[in-house]
Amino acid sequence: MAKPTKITNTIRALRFHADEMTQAELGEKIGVTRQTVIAIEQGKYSPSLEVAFRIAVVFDQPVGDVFKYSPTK
Amino acid sequence: MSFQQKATSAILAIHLLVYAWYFTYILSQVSELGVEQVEYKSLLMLVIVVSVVLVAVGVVIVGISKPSEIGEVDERDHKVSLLSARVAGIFLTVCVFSVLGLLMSGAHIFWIAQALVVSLVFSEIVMRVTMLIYYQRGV
Repeated sequence: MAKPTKITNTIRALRFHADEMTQAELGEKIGVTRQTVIAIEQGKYSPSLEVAFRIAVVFDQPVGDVFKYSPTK
Repeated sequence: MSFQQKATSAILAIHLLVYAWYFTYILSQVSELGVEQVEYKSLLMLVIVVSVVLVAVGVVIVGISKPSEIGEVDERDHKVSLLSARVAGIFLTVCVFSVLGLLMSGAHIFWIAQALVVSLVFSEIVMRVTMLIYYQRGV
């Protein structure tokens, strides 16, 4: 039913490097639930542009470094 | 599992149980008494009220199990809800046309009423199942 997203991300690694920030903490910072952070990390959900920017801001990274689009995947 | 997923599972289970009982009972009554003699109106009203109350209680119990998650809704929940409602809408449309067919063929009012209930319950179940699939497999 749902197609796997072609967007990959480095959120898990970024969280690890940000003092091992938890998924719940990230979710609180960007205004989504922990389950949605998990879904984003697992590639089961592509966040809106706004949430993608919020994540990038949290880790002080460009959006393009956090999310990658892989059309051949 | 998020609050929305747990609540959706609870609502699905309640609807399946309540309406499975209703249709089993009502069909046994039909085979026993015949369509003309079955008193379904008050029973149907009661079943609707009971299902609404059970859903409310079920959602409260889910909320009590993790109060911090109550009312937590984000963009993924909205997307899952919208996509599932669209799928359920398609099923409801097909069901409504089937009811229309029954109506035009001159079916007994009892069967038309039951077909309407089936349509509404079926579309609700389809919506909840679709929501759970979207939550599980991704959206």
